[in-house]
Amino acid sequence: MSNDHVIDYHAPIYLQLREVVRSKIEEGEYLPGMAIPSENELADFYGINRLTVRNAIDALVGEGMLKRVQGKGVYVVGSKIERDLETLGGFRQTMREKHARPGTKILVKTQRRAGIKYAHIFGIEPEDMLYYIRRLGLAEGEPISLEEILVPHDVVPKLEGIDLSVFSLYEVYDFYGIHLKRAWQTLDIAEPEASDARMLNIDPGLAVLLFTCVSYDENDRVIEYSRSYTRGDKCNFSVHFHQ
Amino acid sequence: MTSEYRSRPRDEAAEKIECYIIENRFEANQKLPSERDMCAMWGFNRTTLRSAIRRLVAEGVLYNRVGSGTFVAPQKLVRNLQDAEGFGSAARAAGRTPGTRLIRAGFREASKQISQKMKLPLGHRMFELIRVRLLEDEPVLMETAYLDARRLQGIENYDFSKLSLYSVLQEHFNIKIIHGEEKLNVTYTDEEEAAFLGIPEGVPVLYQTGVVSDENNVPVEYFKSIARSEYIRFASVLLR
Repeated sequence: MSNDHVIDYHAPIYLQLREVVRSKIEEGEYLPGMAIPSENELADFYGINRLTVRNAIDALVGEGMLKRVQGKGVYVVGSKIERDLETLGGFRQTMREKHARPGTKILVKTQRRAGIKYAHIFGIEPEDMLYYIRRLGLAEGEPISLEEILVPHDVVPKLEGIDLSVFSLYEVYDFYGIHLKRAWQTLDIAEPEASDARMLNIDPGLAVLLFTCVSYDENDRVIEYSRSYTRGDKCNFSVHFHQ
Repeated sequence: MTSEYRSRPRDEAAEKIECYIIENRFEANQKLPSERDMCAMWGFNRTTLRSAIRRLVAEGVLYNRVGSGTFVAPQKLVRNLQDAEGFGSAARAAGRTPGTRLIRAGFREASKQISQKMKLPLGHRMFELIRVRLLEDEPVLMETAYLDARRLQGIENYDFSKLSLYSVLQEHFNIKIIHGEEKLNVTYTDEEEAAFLGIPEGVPVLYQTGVVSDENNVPVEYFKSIARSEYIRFASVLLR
């Protein structure tokens, strides 16, 4: 379990140690980029079993607070990128606002038939064509999301010839007078298959957040459908709510 | 432009299954054809089909029952992150049957985290409410709430296995929840959470934590909850 877990003295020792290490990180005693004391040192200091120490560390590694480096030790990872779940903006814009140097790597850009599922979503015919884009989103050179984007061919007929490493999709929409106005985004957990996990540079079996997003223009036409596996250990998500 | 691109077999098979469900208007808990029949229908090999089914199970579209096949999963309960609706009323509005298992309702002193979030001194008397929420008798959510006990004299006399926390606050304490802010991410169940939710330890779940406030911006509740993603989906509207 993540931040702010309240722990008392009869909680299992590994949970208590996890919270001790977590608060030392949050309070700046262990700084990003620094190694924390070794498992042996922690075990000796707190008078607990080394396996218990390992359990506590593993949990924080899983949350992305710590990183294990083979043969060297366990390091504190810098803060995550804070993202909100309220603003519609392209990947690069969002990253730039967060001062994380963005990059995208286009893995696939092709056309396909809509088929029944996407005909349903876009309100078009199954035989109509779609652009299909698969890309990796990077922040500071590190992969943080793997996205699939679908756009009806008729929305941007010229997308074929546009280099998406030069222009962002949002810039392209602007060129063609398309104004995305709102989107409906859902959030699930997914476990990417091994090849996707490799692409994201995470251990196989680690869970990621699955964002599915349907974007509309001002005439309520569906312009874009996207599915994105996003690393929870690299980003934090926040949202405001009102009565 | 990679025009030679062919979509990956697993993705193609997953989409075929999704289309099949739409086309044939399959309903929740309806059984899909056997793996052998689906392979024959679409010309996929067993490995590809199984991998596609695994993906759709992980995403909550399908579920497996050992020995009897693959079924269409009931729709997940969608919880809008931008309203302050409680679990019970959101579930009822979606035509579902919510339930509550009360784990703990009692007093404790504010720890450092609680005091910082609630803007109250360390050791302040708090009302702690821990509930497991059910959908059709399946535990899907574990919610922990901390409230200022001094502001809520007598709150321990309400039965929160039956009553909504927000209704009690409004009707009996005249406190209206106006707005709040929360954070979300993935976490993995610890021993206790796993036991309460009836799932294994170390399973990924959605984690939410936040503070809700009244019309004077006074924090009313600090909460944390973990939700099973096979049953609950979060959603929000994005605006430019």
